[in-house]
Amino acid sequence: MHRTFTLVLASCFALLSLSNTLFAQAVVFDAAAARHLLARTTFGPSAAEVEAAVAAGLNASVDKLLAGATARKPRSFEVKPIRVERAALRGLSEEERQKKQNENRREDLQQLRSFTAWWMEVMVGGDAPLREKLVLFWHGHFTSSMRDVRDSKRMIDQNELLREECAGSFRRMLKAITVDAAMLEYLDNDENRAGKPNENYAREVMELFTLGVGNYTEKDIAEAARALTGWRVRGDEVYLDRRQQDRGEKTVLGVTARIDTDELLEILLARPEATRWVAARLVRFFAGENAAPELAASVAAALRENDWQLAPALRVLFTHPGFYARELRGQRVLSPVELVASLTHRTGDVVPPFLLVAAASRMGQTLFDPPDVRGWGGGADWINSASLLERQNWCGHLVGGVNPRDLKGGGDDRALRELARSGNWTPKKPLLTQEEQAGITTERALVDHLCRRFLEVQPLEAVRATLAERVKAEFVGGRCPADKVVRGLLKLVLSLPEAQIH
Amino acid sequence: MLRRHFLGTTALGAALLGLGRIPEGLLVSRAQRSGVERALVVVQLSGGNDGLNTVVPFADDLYHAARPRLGSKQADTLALNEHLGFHKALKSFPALHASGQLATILGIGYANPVRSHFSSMDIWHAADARGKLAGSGWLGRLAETGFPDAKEPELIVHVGNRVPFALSNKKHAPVAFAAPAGFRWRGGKEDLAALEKASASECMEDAPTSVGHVRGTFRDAVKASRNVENAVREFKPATPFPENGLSAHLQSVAAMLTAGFPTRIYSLELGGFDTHNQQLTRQARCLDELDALGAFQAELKARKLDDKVLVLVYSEFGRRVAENGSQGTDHGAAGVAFLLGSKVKGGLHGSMPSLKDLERGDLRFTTDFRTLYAPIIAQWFGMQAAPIIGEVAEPLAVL
Repeated sequence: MHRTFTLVLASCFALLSLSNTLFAQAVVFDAAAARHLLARTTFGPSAAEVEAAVAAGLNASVDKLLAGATARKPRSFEVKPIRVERAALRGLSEEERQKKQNENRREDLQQLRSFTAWWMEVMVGGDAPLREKLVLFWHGHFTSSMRDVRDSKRMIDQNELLREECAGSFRRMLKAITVDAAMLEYLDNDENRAGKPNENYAREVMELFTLGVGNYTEKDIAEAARALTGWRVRGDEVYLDRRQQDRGEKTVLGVTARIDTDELLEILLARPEATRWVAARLVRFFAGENAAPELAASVAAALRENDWQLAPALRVLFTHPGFYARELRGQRVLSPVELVASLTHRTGDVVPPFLLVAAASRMGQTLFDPPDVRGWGGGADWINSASLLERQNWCGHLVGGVNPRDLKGGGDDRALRELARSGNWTPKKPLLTQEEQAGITTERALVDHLCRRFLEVQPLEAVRATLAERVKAEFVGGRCPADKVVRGLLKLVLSLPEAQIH
Repeated sequence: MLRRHFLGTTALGAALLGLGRIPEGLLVSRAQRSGVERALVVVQLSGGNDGLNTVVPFADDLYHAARPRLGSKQADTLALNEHLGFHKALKSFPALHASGQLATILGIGYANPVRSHFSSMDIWHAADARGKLAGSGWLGRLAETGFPDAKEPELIVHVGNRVPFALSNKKHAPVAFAAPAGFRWRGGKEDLAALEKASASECMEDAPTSVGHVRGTFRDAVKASRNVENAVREFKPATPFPENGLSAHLQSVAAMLTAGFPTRIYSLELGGFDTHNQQLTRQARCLDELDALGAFQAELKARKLDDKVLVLVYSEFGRRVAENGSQGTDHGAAGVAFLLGSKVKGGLHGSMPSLKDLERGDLRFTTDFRTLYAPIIAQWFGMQAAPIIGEVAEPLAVL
């Protein structure tokens, strides 16, 4: 009795010292909390997955997620360089060269498309959903675009780099990304030379990757650009050309020395603003825009105490009472990629992954093609009148089938054009098992089943009644209607505002 | 709402009279008679357009010294006067300039320039040095204060995917769409009716605020998409438009103007101006798209809508005077803006910044961008500028 009491007391103190403010109370990890955790850290949790998480408890559930994110796995996608060697162009006419380069570009884009489809598949059904969620996060943080980096192998290598370090060390990730071939090309640091600086990377590494705006001066940028000089890319090889490197003295953020690239990054990592910035970005992505400041402060402290190791910081984030605050639940807008992957995880349909990629693109998120160097804005920005209709239409297509005439209007996606030519895609198996069908005898039961299965936020009674009314005529003799009707109703459920958030 | 009713009934009337397809001329005069209100079309050049190579000071030796590889010679520019020339991709600009429909504002910028794309764009959007912390955009505030009772969802329309902060406000959520053909709810009529009924439900207390936001967006989207669909279906350009993205978006705007939309602010974006390398080809490609403004203005003239429309073109900053080592330019400060329309006082405004007296290698601004916003608010919309963008000492005489 006495021992238990001391233990409880000790853990209370531990918790208090951890958050030492508002959130001294522990997390009540009930079904709603488990659903919240899995909705934010995986892609569309099923009822069974939520149940298993509740049974395991908060700590074990978070351990499992993090174990998946940190596990070292060999790359599963084979990637090869697809480049035109200069020698192969020698002696060709301008027209022949152009033709060869265009062919090469097509083949190269095809490789990137295959990889994107692979990525989408592991988001939908892979065994490490948090890892892929983190890769998606970092793809928006350390972003690069295929429009500028016209080389699929470099884009894929960058993505694999983000995957390897997604819950590893931010220090290692920052250092690797700085000399990553795709990033060097995307932010022009491969053209940054002694005496002829290019400030692009110097600015963004401070503004977007580590410190946030307002935490450095224009002079710091000019000096940092000098420290970043000399990097070149040749094929897959990144090397430092010492003749192009500015080895003179520089002053960055108050430090004066012959600063080189590695030392510059250490100067940035040592700033307290850096842990705060990275923590704030993680909190915004996973918890949402309205998280209490204590949450980001705790995550920043964990990053500092663990020398930039991400897993312990993520553990603090996902076990923090602030993460489970009522006012954060059901308030985050799903990004298009999350929306299509979550939906497909829940239907269990085998949708061609390129179709999911194309659908997300129509909704405003094209993987490997962010709108700008900030990545994707996220939050409420995902929803405007056009994107909302696309989200509703495409969720409908993804559960009910795609018809070529649905593909008209907007977008020049090659995958969709191919699909439009090849006919259509339809689901191959019923949405409801026979057992489920047997249990659903009224239109209300069907509406409730679909809402519970596909929505994190349950619609009000009046809304559910309206949807039930729509399928009432289809219930003859208390028998669940045909799959086509069920899927038609699901399209309506997915068109509800509640389907856009989690 | 009334105007669209009017359009609808007269179109029906025309059909009943056996006219079949409504002749173009009739449409023009109808849109006009129904009293189209003045509208502003904003074209944002994202990435930081290099003003020096847009309006080129070819007669200045310092320009050529700073840009040995990127500098344009007089012969490569389109004549403006004996010192300045337009970039050669802006083929329609000299005529618009000569006929007084185009105002070119030189040396535009603001004090203590910020060289971050996002922070600088925020300042232009907010018309406030605090950027996003100001809470709303200048066009959003203009709509809020100028049209407090407007009920139409299309009061502000953004043609494109990303709604800029300039439009943000508490009262009038902008309608946005990129391609008109994809802008509609696909599914059965009865299904849509059920959804509309579900989204009309008033008992919202228990639902999260995010649900209410999406619900409002859905209602606006359904309404606006029907109107856009009709407008685009009935529109056949009278002018040949070039084939590019901005041109397509401008045609959508022309269609909406022709249909008599209640829109007071149209917003468009043209990206790709962040020319840290290969600037010559990259900027030319962008400005070639921008040149679609020539077709747009011709279209409006043909439909006699030109005196109802004002076009503002701006970018978040100009670029560094000296070229960098990659045949490009880094982020700079003062740049160039344009105002286009039949009511514009055309010609050069502001003054060309010195290429000698630079601020950390950048052009010093001679014209605060708020002195360009002020006449748009005051003369174009007939509203007080100060509550929207603060006191402006010397508004430009562009209108």
